[in-house]
Parts: sequence; C-alpha cells; structure tokens
Amino acid sequence: MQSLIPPSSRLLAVGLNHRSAPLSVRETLAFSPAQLPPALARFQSRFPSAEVVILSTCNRVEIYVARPLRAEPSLDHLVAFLSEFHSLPADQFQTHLYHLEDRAAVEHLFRVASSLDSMVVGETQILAQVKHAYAAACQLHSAGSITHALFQRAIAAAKNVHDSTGLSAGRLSLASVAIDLARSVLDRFHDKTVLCIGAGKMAGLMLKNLQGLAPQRILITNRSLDRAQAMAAQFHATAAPIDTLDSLLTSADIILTSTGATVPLLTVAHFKSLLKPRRYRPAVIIDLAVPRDVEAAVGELDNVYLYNVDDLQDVASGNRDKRASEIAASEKLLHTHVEDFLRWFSARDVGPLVKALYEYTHDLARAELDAHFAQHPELTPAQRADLDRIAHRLIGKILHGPVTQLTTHTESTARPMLAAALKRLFNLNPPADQF
Amino acid sequence: MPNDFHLQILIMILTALFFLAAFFVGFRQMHAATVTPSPARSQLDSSMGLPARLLLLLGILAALSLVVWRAFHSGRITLPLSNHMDSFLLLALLLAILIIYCRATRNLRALAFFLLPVSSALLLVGAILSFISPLDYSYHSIWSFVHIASIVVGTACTAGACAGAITFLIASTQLKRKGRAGAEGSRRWIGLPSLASIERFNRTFIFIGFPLLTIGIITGILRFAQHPLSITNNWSLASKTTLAFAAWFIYLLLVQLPFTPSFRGQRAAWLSILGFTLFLAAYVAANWMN
Repeated sequence: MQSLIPPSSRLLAVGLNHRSAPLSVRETLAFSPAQLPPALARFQSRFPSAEVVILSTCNRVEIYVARPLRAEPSLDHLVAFLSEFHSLPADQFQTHLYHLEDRAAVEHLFRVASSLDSMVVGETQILAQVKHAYAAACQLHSAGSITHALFQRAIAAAKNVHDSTGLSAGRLSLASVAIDLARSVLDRFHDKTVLCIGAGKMAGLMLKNLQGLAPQRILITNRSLDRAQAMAAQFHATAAPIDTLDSLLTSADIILTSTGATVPLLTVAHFKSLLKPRRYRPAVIIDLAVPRDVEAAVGELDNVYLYNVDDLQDVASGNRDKRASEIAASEKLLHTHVEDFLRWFSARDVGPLVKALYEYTHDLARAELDAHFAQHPELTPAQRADLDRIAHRLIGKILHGPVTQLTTHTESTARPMLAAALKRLFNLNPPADQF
Repeated sequence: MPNDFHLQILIMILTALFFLAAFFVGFRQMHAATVTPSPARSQLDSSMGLPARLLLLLGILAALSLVVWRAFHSGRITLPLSNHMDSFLLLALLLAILIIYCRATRNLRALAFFLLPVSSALLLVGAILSFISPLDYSYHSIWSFVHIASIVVGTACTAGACAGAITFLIASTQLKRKGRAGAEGSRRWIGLPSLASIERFNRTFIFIGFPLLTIGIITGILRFAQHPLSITNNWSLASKTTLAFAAWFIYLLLVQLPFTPSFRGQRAAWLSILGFTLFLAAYVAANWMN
C-alpha cells in the first residue's frame, strides 16, 4: 500500500526485539532507567532538530525518531549512536537490527503498544513500558509534536484494543509460568524460602504471585535497603542488606532476581561455591533482569534450574495459536487507528500549503474589497462587514472541496502531485516545514 | 501341543507384551497431551488413557492368573516361589501393585507410566532365563526362605527406584532444556511429577529395599555356609556374589545420601539405575549357578 507520507521518510524506528536478537545481544543494547535520561540528552544535543523516544524493555530496544525531511539522523547515525552510547562495535549487533520508516514505523509502534508484537500476546505490561518511555521523553523534552501525537495515539489504540477484544484473556502470565516451573522442581513450599534480589516493579508483580505458594519465608534484598524494607512490608517479608547475599542465597530455594545491574550479579563460580553450603538442594532461579543478573552457565550446575525472561516467555507464548481470532480482531481494529494517525499526519504535512492557499485567497479578497470600498465611500460599516463576510464565506466554500481532498483522502496517492499543482497554479510558496 | 511350562512361558511373555503395549499406547497419548504447561497439568489424567489402562489391567490379570496357577501347580500356596520364574512373576506383580499405588497418588501418576517398561523388562528377562535354564529353588533351611523372599521384595523396591530414577532424569533434562511446549524437538511433557516428589519416592523405596537386600545377602551367605559350594569352581556363583555386593554397595551410597548431599539429583538417579542393573545381572548369573 502506498504511503500517505511523502517518499522521504520522516518517522524512523530502529531497534531489535526478541525475534531479531537473542537475549545476549538485547541486554548489551538495553537502556537501564538510569541510562535513559543521559541517552535522550545526548541524542538531543547531537540531533537538535529531531524528536526521539527510546523504548527499552526486556524484549526490545527501539528508538523512535521524527525528523525534518532529508535531515539527520539517518539510519547510519542511529546505529552509530547505539554503538557509541553502549561502547559496542556496531558489527556486534547491526545484523540483528531492523529499521522501519513512516507507515511501517507507525504500524510497528501501534502493534508493540497493543502487545501484538509481544512474545506473550495480550500482556499489558508493554503498554505501561511504552507509557514510561514516552513520559521519560516528555520529561526531557525530547518528544515533540509528532512523537506526542504518535505515542498518545498508540497508547489510546492499545487501550482500545484491550478493551474491545478478548486479547488479554486466556494468556499465560510470566508469573504463572514461573510458578509452574517451581512446582515442577519442588513439591512442598511450606518449608521453602523465596529470595527476591531487587525491589523493582517486575519483582513485586512476580512476588505477589509467588506468595500464593505460601512459602515459609520471603527474603528481599536490594542495593537500597530502604526500598527492600518498603517492599518487605508489602509482602510480609524480611528485608536484608545486599552484603549478606551469600547467606541469603544459601538459604533460598526459589531465587528471583530483577535488578538494574549491568553486569551479572551471580556468576557460575560464585554459585558453585555456594552449592556445598546449600547441601546441593535444588534451586529454582528466575532471572527477570535485562541485562541478566545470573550467568547462563549457572543453569548448567547440578540441581540448579535457571530461567530467564526469554525462557518464561517462550513457554507463555505457547498458546498463541489458540487466540488467533482475537489477534485477527485486534489487528483489524489497530488498522483503523493507524489510518487515523496517518491521516492526521498527512493533513499536518500539507498544513503549511493549505494555510498559504487560504492566506493567498484571503489576501486577494482583501485587496479587491479594499479597492471596492475605496471606490464606494458611501458604503456603511455594516454593508462593508456584509461584503467581508460574503467574500470569506465564498472563499471557504470554494476551497473546502480541494482542501478536503488534499488533507483527508485516504487514497491520496496523488497527494504530492496535487500539492505540487496547487503550489504551481497559485504560485504558493509555503514556509519550509519543520516536520 | 505345548506342555504346561511352555504355556506358562508364553503367558509370561504375553504379560510383558501387555505392559509394553500399555507403555507405548500411554506414551503416545502422553506425548499428544503435551500442549501447554500450567493450565494443562490436569491433562495428566488423560496421559495414560483408557486403552493403556485396559492393557495394564490385562497384564495384571495375566500375571496374577499365572502366579495362582503356578502356586497350585507347585503346591506352595502361601509362598509361590518355587523357581526363578516365580521370582520374576512376583516381582512383576509387586511392581503392578506399585503402578496401581502411583495411579492413585495424584503427584505420582506419571511415574506409574515409567514403571511399565521396567516391569515388562523383568518379565521378559524372567521368561527367557526360565526357558533357557530353569532354576528351581531348594529350601534347605529357614535362611533359604528368608533369602529368596527378601531378595525378591528388595529387588521390587530397587526396580521401583529405578523407574523413579528414569522419570527423574527425563523430568530434570526437560526442565534444564527449558523447551517450550509445542516447539519442535523441545517438547516438555506435561504432568511429570516434581523432581522433589520423585526424589522422595526413590528415597522411600531405597530405604525399604536396602535393609531387605542386606538381609537377603546375609542370609544368602548363611545359606551358602550351610551348603557350601566352591566359589572358585563356580564362576556363576562368584559373578552373582560380586554383582550383588556391587549393587549393595551402590545402595549403601544411596542410603546415606542425606549425609553426602553431593550425590543428590542426577547422580543419585544414575546410581539407582546402575544398582538395579547390577541386581538384574546378579539374577542372570544366579540362573547359571545350577
């Protein structure tokens, strides 16, 4: 389908996700909450005329950019930015990147926000993550008029999809999968200890579900003991300082990690040294962090069962086929939202031209009226006002049809041609558009 | 026209085939039932569906009728153990009881499924050994009786632990592999017991089986002391004794597992399988003793 937007793209989306890149690559490009503001600031200083929103979740890292026509950043600039920010050679991740432009970028974001692009279709966490990414961009003023509209509409569309379809029903949550896996290893929980490393939202959600197993005790540790204590109060758990991690790991049967650490918190050598004090008890480790908190090799140790986000999602996505009809209905609904946005975007695109057309005709009318009023000084102010009104109404009526054709026609494959014709026919020279 | 002995061998093989068929039919159903994890755990009930259960029932009835027939035939109604064939039949029946117990225990239902091939293997080995070289038991003293009875019941326990160990290895491998349900080549069977349940099951049967095997070995030595045979002149007795001691030593390791936890998990499972294999080899060696 032909794009509504002129050929030179102005909306770009560059990124990688769970389908294009393994977790080991995704985690190297992830922007932690602490990294996001400096990343946005650096992007803004490098490309001041562009708008940017960075979406970084456990499944994807995507940069959404709106920029002036034929201006920077280009795709190469975006790759270079990622490479530079993460101090990572581009050839280590470039093959996993996808880049989308204009309509494709819009469709992609709308699908992402609605969870149609998620591993677990129907999950709602991605919507919160999109909102969070947008809020961060707003806070740092890196979002502009285009990205405001793009993200606001994507969020609204996602809400509409969730409300109007059964997409969220029947999905397997990561927590339910984690509990199932814990039950596959351990059978009784009344004498078991759950350790939660990190006091983030994700850990809280998982812990809430793990509480259902009624473990003997729940331990929470975090770099900030205050946060651990706050979370412990919420879950009737015990907070412990992070420097007691070894003793906590020794006593734990289910270990939940979800920290923002950029290097693994738990290495294979470290955990191996704890096997003996643990008396080789089975350990179920749920690593929700991206980048991962636990080295993959830990899962190869005897009696250690390690699952990361991909493992859990892989299991949870198993029932996607069963919800094909809901997915189809959601896609259809999303399509109308995408078209609405593109129509708005397109109308916004020809806005300066329409404005110039109206100004031109009004200026003509004004000149004619002024000449007429000069020839007929006997006209009363009321009569002059009447003539003014008639002239403007006439202009409005004459231009309404062409302008509507130009701004709202969804099949406007000839839009650039019509715009060019208008410019030429009326000798219009609208100001160069910013977006 | 086959004589009674040949007919009994045939029934024994038929019983083994019933168990084997129940295993394969159940395996197919279990594999097909593997769709998704958590919500599908209830599919465990159908993992050993009606055809498999009917075949199991037929196998149990065949084994039971053969035991009754042989008990009346030998005149040993209270203890139907007159030869090696009886031992293997009794083993298979004890395992069948274990299968029924597992089927009735919610957390162990899938384990019943893995007991079938073990039981079937025992019956086939018993039938082949009995056919090649029937070993009639001679009860010289009370020690002979205690020896044979404790060894048979002890072996049934180790066979149960062996089936448990196979289940443990499959379950733990699948959990380690993390394969998602439905993905080609990485299917995770639904409804396998938790690793902790299997470990407990194995531990229980090893704890019951080990003292019985110890009694069996001690009484075997006493029996041998009363009716000495020259080990140096009887290679099968030497092999049987060596194998039995090796198996006993393995179970000794497994019994003291709580004190050496490094043997937990897969190592313990492999040891259970090795121990049972050695006991089975000791049975084969015993068959050539006479």
